[in-house]
Amino acid sequence: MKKASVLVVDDSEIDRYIICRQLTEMENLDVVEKVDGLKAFEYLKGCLEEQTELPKVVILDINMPIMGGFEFLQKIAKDFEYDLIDTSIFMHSSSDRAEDLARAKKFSSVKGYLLKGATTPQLLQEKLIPYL
Amino acid sequence: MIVCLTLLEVSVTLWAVFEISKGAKLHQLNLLHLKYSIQFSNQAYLYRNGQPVSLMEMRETLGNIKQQPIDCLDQVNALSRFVMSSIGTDYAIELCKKDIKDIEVVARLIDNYENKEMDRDEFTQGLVAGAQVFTINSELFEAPITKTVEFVISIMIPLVIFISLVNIFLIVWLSKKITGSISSVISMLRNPESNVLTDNELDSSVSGEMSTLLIAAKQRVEANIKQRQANQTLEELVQERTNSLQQAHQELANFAYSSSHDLKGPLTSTKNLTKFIIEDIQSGKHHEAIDNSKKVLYLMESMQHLVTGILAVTDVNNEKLSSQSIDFAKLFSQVENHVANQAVLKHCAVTFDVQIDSTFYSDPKYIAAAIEQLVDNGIRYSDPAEAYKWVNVEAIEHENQFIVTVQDNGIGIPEEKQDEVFLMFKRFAPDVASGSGLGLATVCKIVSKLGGEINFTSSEKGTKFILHFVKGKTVG
Repeated sequence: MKKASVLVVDDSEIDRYIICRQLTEMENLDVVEKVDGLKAFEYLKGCLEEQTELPKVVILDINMPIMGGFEFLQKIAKDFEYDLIDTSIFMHSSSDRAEDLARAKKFSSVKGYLLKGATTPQLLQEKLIPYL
Repeated sequence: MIVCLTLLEVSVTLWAVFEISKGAKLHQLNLLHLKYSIQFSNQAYLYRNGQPVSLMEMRETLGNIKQQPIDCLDQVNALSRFVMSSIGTDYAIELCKKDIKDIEVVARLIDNYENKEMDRDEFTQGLVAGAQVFTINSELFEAPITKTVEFVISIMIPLVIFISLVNIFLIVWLSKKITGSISSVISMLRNPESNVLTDNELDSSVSGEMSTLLIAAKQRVEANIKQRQANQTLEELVQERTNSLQQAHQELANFAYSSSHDLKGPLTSTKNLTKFIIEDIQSGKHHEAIDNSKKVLYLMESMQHLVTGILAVTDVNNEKLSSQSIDFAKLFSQVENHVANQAVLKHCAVTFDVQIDSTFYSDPKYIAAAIEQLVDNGIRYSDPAEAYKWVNVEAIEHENQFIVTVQDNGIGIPEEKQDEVFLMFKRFAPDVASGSGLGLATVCKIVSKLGGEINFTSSEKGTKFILHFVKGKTVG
């Protein structure tokens, strides 16, 4: 069976480690890590240019240097309007502010909101499997 | 003036009416006098012709006749007497007196006849003669009274008309004067160049009650303007305070959000890592458990660092400052010692230069903390691609300012992030180094607390922070 790919975008090495370790409990998953929105954008751009497989799911932090999560969402909405139809995005943040949640909902590509520290392998499985 | 004239007019008119009515009254009295005289004359003739007329009746008629000159004299007062003597009709008064005497003479005649002191022929002749005298008196009396009344009418009516005309003229003149005065004030008020409300112009161009009116109006308007200005100032003050409160509230909300976000992150990560450690130990992956424990330790340290940093920012707000003469050479060598290890680690050269002659008073502890933070940032964010990495600190005097610059050839601050440099929890280069995001916020707080200003220039070639302190400006 072909492995699905998940892109984890977070500036915190430890947060990336935690989410990746929780994701590895799911089988057949390739996990790619990027440290900010710009690096993630460049990665997606590379995938499109080289026509390699795009990630099915992006797990995206909000507060990041260089390019934050929302900036990244705006940029991909503008630059890859039709290219990322099969890619679902899950916000992954320690912020539970209503305005962040509402802002995330405005992007059609965002399919869920994961609170840092509240994720478990089971929760990730439940939420992500429909999109993989 | 108008009131006096009007009063005079009214009194003269009343007096004229009174005099004319008096004239009418005198006419009436004279008519009665004539009537009784004719009655007496009839009685006298009847008596002479032997008709039965009693002496008593004749006495009564005489009494009636006598009443008119008496009443007539009662009517005449000093003013009437004066007027009559002026126009030569005062003989009417004498006529009245004569009439009374004549009547008394006839009365005595009747007495004498009754006392048989004269004969009947003599008596009747006397009676007839008396009756004739009375009639003549009546006729004579008519002329002066008419003349007097005519005089009063001919004098008083023109006089009343004259006074009325003068009165009308005065009223017209006065109202014109008032209207003119009002219009001149209106035109002065309408003319933007005329400053009618300044006291000098007011005195010279307007007088009397108009001036009082303008002064009162001016005072009122000035009071209103002052009140309005005061209200406006108050509103502005309220707005200003509201804005600063809103800003403070926004800052506090941001601070609470950012600090809790920055603390919550490592805390939840710690929780997850701890779970992993347990799993790792249970499944015998001791190396993984050790790695994860190190991660927990790192997170704990970063939390400790963060909390210390937050406390430092708030301490700047709360602590009192001391004011001492700053020895830059000594201060720089302290900073040099503190950053030495990190500088060696990052292969970064830190140099210091002091060119200050006059004495700079400030709080040495905070000045040192600010400079150290800037130097630390310079070393921390040095450009890995640069062969020779350096941070240069310089203190100079320029005109009325002390200027401290901290310059480096590091990676610089991205242009789009330069507006957020002094905000808390802002980090720009986590690839290169990870800070708490509080350093520059603390420096900014310190500098403003010390009464100085901080600004910077930054590009890919490096960053230059410049601290300005005005000479002689007290800190606190």
